[in-house]
Amino acid sequence: MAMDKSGEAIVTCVDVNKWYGDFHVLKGIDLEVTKGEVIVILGPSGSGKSTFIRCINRLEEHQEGQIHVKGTELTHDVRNIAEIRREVGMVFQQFNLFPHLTILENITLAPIHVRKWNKADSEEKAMKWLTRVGIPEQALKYPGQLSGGQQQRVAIARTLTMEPEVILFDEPTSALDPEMISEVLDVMRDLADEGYTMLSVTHEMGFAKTVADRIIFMDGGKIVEMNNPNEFFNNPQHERTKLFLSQILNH
Amino acid sequence: MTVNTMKAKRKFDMGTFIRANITKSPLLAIWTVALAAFAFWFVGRSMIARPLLTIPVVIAWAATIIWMVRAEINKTHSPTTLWLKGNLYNSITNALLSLILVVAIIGFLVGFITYAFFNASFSEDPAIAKEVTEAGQLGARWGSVTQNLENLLVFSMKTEMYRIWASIGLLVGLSIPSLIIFRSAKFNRSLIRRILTWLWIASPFIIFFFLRGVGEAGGSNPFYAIDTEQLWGGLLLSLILSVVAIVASFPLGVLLALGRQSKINGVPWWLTYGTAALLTAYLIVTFTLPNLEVAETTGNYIYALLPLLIPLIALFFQKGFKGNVMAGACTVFIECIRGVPLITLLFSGILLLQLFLPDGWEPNKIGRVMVAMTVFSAAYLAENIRGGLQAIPRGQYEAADSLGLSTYTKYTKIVLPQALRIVIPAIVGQFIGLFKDTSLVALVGLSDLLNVARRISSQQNWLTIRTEPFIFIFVVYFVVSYAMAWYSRRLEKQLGVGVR
Ligand SMILES: Nc1ncnc2c1ncn2[C@@H]1O[C@H](COP(=O)(O)OP(=O)(O)OP(=O)(O)O)[C@@H](O)[C@H]1O
Ligand SMILES: [Mg+2]
Repeated sequence: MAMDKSGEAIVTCVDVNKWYGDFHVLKGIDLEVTKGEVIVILGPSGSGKSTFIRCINRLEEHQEGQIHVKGTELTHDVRNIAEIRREVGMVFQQFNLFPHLTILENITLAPIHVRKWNKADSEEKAMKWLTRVGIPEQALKYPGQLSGGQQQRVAIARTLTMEPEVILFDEPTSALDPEMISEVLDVMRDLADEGYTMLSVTHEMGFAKTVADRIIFMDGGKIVEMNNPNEFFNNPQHERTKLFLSQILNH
Repeated sequence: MTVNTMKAKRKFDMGTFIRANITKSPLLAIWTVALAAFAFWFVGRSMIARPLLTIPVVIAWAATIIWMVRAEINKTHSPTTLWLKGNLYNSITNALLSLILVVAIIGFLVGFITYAFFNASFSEDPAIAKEVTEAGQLGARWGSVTQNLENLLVFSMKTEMYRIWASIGLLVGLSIPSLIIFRSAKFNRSLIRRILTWLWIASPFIIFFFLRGVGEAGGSNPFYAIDTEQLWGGLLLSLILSVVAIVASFPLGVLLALGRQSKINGVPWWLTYGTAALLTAYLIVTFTLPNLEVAETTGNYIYALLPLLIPLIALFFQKGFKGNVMAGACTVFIECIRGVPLITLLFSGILLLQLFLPDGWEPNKIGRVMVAMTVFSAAYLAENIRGGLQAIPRGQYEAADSLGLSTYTKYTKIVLPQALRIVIPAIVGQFIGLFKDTSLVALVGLSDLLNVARRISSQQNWLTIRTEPFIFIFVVYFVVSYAMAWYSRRLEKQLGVGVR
């Protein structure tokens, strides 16, 4: 996981299209994510950001185009889907921890059943990640006993213990009280510094500016603009982007 | 409006009082007068019959009313007078009803206690019992119950009591360590706790083995197989049937619920309709046409045209379930069973089950009833569990999927543990219903509690005695059901703790 932006493509999307019934949600998305890259996806509500990243681990199904993750194509073949889900982790807005399991069990469940590591190894790795996100002392509690910020950090630890190649974040701080947002963003910043490949939908402009390698702006199911943060914020090319930026920056 | 004027408005006023209680409408006036007249007559009768009990009640009634009214007029309410005003005497009607009810309850209790104790005979000698109870007024002959106590509780298993003691021994043996181990956090996730849990899960099967037995009599095996149809009965049978049905229906109910929920890709529409069209065409040629030629009655014609239902079924299957065979089959099964009364299933079990079983497999009546009750219970259980499944947020499935868990792990580790926890109280409630429903097996000739009670009246000793055994089984049903309902409420509270 060292700093390695060697240009090896981890996720490749070619002309991805998706419809909900008659509604065309994703209109020809092309994107190549290279190893170690941090991509932030911005866009107005309903522009298809969540739908897009959820297509990458098959929580949603795309109908046209190809998505490859580390060379494996997402098809109907359940073996491919399983393969890809092992390599793609996801952190949700609502944390989605398992309320009937302890924090440690939440984290070790997938390593034991999916990676087939033994219990001791899984617990050791889980504790390593809990320590990294700063809450090893919570290991034996249940999710309901933790604050929102702590739960989201557990969710991140749960995802990372699986040692995925790419981590998807869907508005990981939107359900948090303001004072807990930074504790989660700090963890994400550390991960980015360490060279993890990340795709994040977020409304945190500070994070986007300082951490992202690339910003993608989506509107109406299309990628309208894609650029490095500096260019994107200071010199937006499209009218739609300018309008969006003026709205959120004045906000 | 200031506080003062509000107080002034609230001040007791005779005119307002009479208007609100009597003269507001002619109907109210007639009702109040009629009720007062009835109360006068009813309480008067009771006073003549039971003066020592009735007179103090009437005095207490009048005194508390006067106390409350004085408090109302003088604005010197205490919590007690407010309670009286709110609960017993908030209008003339309610004050009268309170009196009538108390007097009626006293009358019933006195009557029942006299019947059940003072005039009753506890002798098991029918001659003595008859003498005692016919000398005075109506009285219970409890001998009919006590002499039949074994019949009512265990029926002919009284000759095999060691099997019952073994079962009870097992339950007690498990309960005592459980009280310690399940209560204390020290044993959380310890091996002993896990062993105990598994023993509890195994206990219905072990008890079934004790009570039914396997193998031939005469060997060294004390738990040889017995003729359950002859020996099982009474409360024991009711308990066995309801426990077997709930335990056996559990896995079936889970599978049915999951099946009904399943979203697997269905058979494509062209395959469904194509198969249906071919099958219909084939049957029309080979079945309908020949039958139509020889048809005479309307019934014959309808019979010949039956294959025409196939396209309809195909349409229903495709439109209703999008060709999902699993969901379709589970839904049809669940709805068919739920659409039929249990007694019908019991008779079907007795009469039809044989048709579905392989040769040489002939369960006795009890076995058939068990199958019928299991199927019945599974359909309802499936709907309960489906409710639990629907209560699991989508995010739980998504988290499981995104971690790459297999469908099996997703359901066994994430979805079902949460869904079942939600429906445990409903399952206990269903168990209570099942326990009470076992009284229906009397109608197919099994000797359950109800049937044993009924048959007492044809015993030589207790000819025509009906009431006493029925009072007894009333109490038994009530105590068992109430105990379980109480436990279910406690469980509900316990499970509520710590869940989100
Ligand atoms: N299951 C669904 N069925 C039909 N339409 C859907 C479904 N899920 C999303 N949509 C629609 O697809 C569009 C894109 O939704 P999506 O959730 O991807 O937007 P988003 O960019 O993530 O917005 P937000 O910032 O509000 O989360 C929206 O118009 C939404 O109404
Ligand atoms: Mg979204």
